[in-house]
Amino acid sequence: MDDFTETPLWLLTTHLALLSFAAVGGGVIMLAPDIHRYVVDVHRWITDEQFAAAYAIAQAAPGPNMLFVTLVGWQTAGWPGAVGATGAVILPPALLTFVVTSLSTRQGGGVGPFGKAVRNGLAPVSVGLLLAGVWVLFTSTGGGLREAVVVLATLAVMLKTKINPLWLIVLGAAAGIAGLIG
Amino acid sequence: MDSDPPGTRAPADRASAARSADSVAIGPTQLFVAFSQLALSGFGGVLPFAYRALVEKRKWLDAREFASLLAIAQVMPGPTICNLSVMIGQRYAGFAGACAALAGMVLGPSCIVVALGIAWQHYGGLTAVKQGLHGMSSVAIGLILATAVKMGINLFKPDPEPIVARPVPGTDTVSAPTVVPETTRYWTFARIVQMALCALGFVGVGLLRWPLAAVVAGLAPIAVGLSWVIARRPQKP
Repeated sequence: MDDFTETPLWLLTTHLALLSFAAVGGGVIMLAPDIHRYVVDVHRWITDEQFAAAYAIAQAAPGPNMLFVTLVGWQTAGWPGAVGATGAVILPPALLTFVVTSLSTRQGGGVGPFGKAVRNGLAPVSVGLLLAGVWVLFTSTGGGLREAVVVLATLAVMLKTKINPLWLIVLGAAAGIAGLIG
Repeated sequence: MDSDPPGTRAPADRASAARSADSVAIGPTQLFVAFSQLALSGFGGVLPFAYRALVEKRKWLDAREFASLLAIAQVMPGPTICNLSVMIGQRYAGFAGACAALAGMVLGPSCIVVALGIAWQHYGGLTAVKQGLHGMSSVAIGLILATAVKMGINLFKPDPEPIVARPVPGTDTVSAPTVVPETTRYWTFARIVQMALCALGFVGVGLLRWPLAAVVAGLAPIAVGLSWVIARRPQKP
């Protein structure tokens, strides 16, 4: 039993389960820098390249973007890792949500004043954490001038148009294969 | 979602009465199927697809109910879309419904993601695959940046509130809108604190690579406290 608590599967799962509660105000995307720190920098279970690939693949696939966690788990500890990592990120908050919704007597009433304070107050922190995620992913993939141009072009298109981001990802893949990036 | 389309403004009780009159049983199976479908069609973010499927197509919720459930899902920790699945599933079929909706949201997409991961392990060494993924991940980073910038624009745009039209005493009319200096100063202060919180989040997690939990634990009380104080302030002079 002592050995099991030292395995990557156990360490990753427990780390993610605790981390899942820090994903406040929106996305698991903001957990990306910390997951990167833990699995790449601290434990060296996977490489920068694997992490970036997991992220890119999850963005291109249908479903919640948080599923890059599934791939990180899979790369770290195979199928048990995939199941453990996904469950660790989803189940603790889901259980909390279920309990809170069950206890709440308010029917269709939305959030109270404290809920609003939480949501509005955490918004600037969320923005900062998202920017941190951008920085960590960019530097970990050896981002240079060309990558920066792609990142900024994506930003411009997303701000100016309502295009489905999937097309930009396809375009990015095509540009990469054509040898235009990196 | 900001502007309700006409016809969705029915009061919640009428909407639920209509639902029970239809007496379409929404059980765990229907929930699992519906959430699987919307998750698997959700390229580049599931939320817009969830809205389309649940509000516009199946009419399980009206726009207002969806917005209020979404607000709660965002406040709760964890992935917003999973929290939303739990809440909607629970609403129709209790614990089994919550499990079914959540499973529908996650099972199909995660199998696809792992299948793609396996393919990557086999063919990831090929130059074309490497380069293609490199291009994709640069775009993916740009997408996060876009989300952050959009949230930031919403957050830091000038607030119209400090400009207030005051009632003219003794008449039914109001004065021309004027800027109230105290309120403006109040907002300037709030903005500076918000920008500081944003910067600290970025520096702590992005540059110093501190553990996220520590940074959030440090910043969240300040952030929520400030927002609480702002919401409590007197609205009109």
